[in-house]
Amino acid sequence: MSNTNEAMEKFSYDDKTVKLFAGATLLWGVVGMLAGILIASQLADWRLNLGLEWITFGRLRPLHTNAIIFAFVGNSIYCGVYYSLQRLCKARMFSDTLSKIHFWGWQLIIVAAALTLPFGITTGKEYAELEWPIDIAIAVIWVVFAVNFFGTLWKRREKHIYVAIWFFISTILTVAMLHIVNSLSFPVSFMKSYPIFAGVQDALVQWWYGHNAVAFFLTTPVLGLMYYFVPKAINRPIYSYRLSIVHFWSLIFIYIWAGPHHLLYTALPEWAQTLGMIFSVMLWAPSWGGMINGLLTLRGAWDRVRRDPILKFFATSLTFYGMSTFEGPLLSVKSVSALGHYTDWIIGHVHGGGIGWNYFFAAGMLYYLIPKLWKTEIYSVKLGNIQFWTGTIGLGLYYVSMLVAGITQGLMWKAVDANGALVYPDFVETVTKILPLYYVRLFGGLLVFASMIIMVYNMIKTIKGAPKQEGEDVYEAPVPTWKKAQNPDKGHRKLEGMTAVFATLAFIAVAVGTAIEFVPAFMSHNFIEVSEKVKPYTPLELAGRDIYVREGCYTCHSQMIRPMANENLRYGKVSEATEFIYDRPFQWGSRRIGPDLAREGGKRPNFWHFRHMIDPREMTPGSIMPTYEWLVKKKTGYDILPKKLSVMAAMGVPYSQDEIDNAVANAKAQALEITEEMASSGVEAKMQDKQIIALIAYLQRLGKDLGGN
Amino acid sequence: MKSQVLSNWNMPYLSVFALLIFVTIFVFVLFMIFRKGGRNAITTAEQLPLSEAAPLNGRKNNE
Repeated sequence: MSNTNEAMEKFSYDDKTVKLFAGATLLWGVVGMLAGILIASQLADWRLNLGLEWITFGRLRPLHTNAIIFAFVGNSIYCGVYYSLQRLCKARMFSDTLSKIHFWGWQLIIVAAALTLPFGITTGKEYAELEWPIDIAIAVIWVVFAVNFFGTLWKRREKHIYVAIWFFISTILTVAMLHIVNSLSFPVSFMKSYPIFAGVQDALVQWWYGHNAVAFFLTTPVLGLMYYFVPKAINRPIYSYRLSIVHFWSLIFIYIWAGPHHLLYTALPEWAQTLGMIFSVMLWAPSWGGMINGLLTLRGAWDRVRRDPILKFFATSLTFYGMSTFEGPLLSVKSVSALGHYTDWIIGHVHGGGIGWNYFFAAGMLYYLIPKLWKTEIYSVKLGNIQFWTGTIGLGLYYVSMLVAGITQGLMWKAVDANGALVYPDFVETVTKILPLYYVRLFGGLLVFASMIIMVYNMIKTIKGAPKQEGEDVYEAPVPTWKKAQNPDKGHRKLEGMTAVFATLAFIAVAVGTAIEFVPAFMSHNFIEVSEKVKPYTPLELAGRDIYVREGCYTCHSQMIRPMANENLRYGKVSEATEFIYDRPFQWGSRRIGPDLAREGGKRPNFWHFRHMIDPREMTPGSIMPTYEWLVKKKTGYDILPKKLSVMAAMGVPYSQDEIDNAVANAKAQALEITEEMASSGVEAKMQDKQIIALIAYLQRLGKDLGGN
Repeated sequence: MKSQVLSNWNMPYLSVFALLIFVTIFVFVLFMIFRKGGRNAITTAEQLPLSEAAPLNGRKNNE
């Protein structure tokens, strides 16, 4: 309430942009989930790859993850931020033009992703697959968002920045840092680049980014929205503002360290793995602090939670946040990771967070926002409840099936008999065993998708039934005289009035962990012995490696043999850091739907690979791998090889000028050699220029430098 | 030899240093939020989302 003696200012909010982001959230939610359904069906039945290169699992899986993270959740975050920021600051957004550029720029980036990923234009780094021109566009649009955001804070009428805004600040600063550092690359052509980091360093940077994309894109902004929308929906303040302060600072400080838990038992230095594990376990406390703060805000109002879809979605979303943030630290413990990593348990875990936390929170927020923005009532509360139960049952089926599949497969990989031999030596046995669970997952996914469709229908009907609106509502608030006055506050309260200082401290909090993990890692060249045995890839192998990356082979195959008896028995000698010094990008992978390929080189004849790519089931009965028939039709891009080698040389790979100049001739000679070797099996000489030969060259090189098996 | 050093490159002081920084910040934040006389500030701050500017009845900015 304003004092009657205070001078008042009139203003309006830019809700048009909020509405646009709400619409985009619904649209991309459908698209992202549809892609998820398609790839889930492809895993249940490989024939649904349809033999079309653009929709094979390896190419569509990055599209699904990017669409859900950056398109669906991204738009929902912007929607909530634009709505809440203006109201918490009692000010219109800094610039309507910047808001428009932000909205349309982000949608264009999403369209660019949808147009490039199915064509195999990818960097091969998970959740950062987009190529360098799109990366630059993302950075530019993010800066536009940041300027608009901080500009709004600058012109705010409310002195104190509420806890929701702290989370938004940490998101904007940290995502900028993560995206820029992880996207540093050297372009080869308009849509091809190599990262400046290689091997172990690339892995560390990638998972510092990958984990913190979850932390600072899927979590902190949504927590900020939780601190705004849960109190608004229930019309009472957050349970404990003091707890929110502890929650914020400890969460952002600890989160940034946890990335290496994605690399446990890999060739990453032991100290970095331990650091990642310790901080992941510590992360449990602030995460649950936030969850408890949200859930306890609903205390005494559980009767409303039963009736109101908004509160129902918020309460369930917070519950899944609690489950995911318990399971995450659990999976980060090395002994648990030894079982769960590379299995479907991780897939279940991320969907518990992605669907349970992000989708359900977005749904609750939209049920709150859309009737408010269009000044109407929700079309059907009953449909909202049906959506809730359909989604919840679907997620339950999805999560349980993946948990069971993951633990089953993990145990099968590890099973060793009394004589020390693998009980399930054929990898494919461990896949066919869990196939029925892939059908359960598909059914669960279909239910989640159906719940999304119900929401879209409900929202469209709500908007269509709304009265026509003209102009914007006018609000008034006291003129912000506090800007010129001295700040009499003390402690954290004082800090809440000082945006620049607050932002600087938040940045320092995330930079400390980054620096301590990165600086020693970047000095690791002093410790890695560049073995004379480890040679750069030949031009043909490099061409084959780029095909491997293009087809998204890393989405199903790892290239990292962990120091465990069963992995040693199944795949061969444990991987060493020095083996990856020329790998740009590293291809250690995160899931084994197929076997590890780190020591694939020389294990099988060239002809085996040739037939396997055309029809995997011919060589491995029961395999669920798609066919790659286009590899025998498409020609290898020889012309660009000198450029690729020179770019690699510029980044320190020891290619001589002679090797660069003769890259094409050398590649053709190696291709001829491989083709001739297969001639006795009926492979025609014309195959030598085809991409399958380059891919075979790469696969046959894997893991051989240090003596192979 | 060097590759062995890399895989066993133990830097326990990093974890200890990180823990110390965290505990320091944590205790500092606790002092800041539980300082005497801070209750009013907390009450005001937690009401921020609930005390938004109200629309002026019937007023539109295109009028």
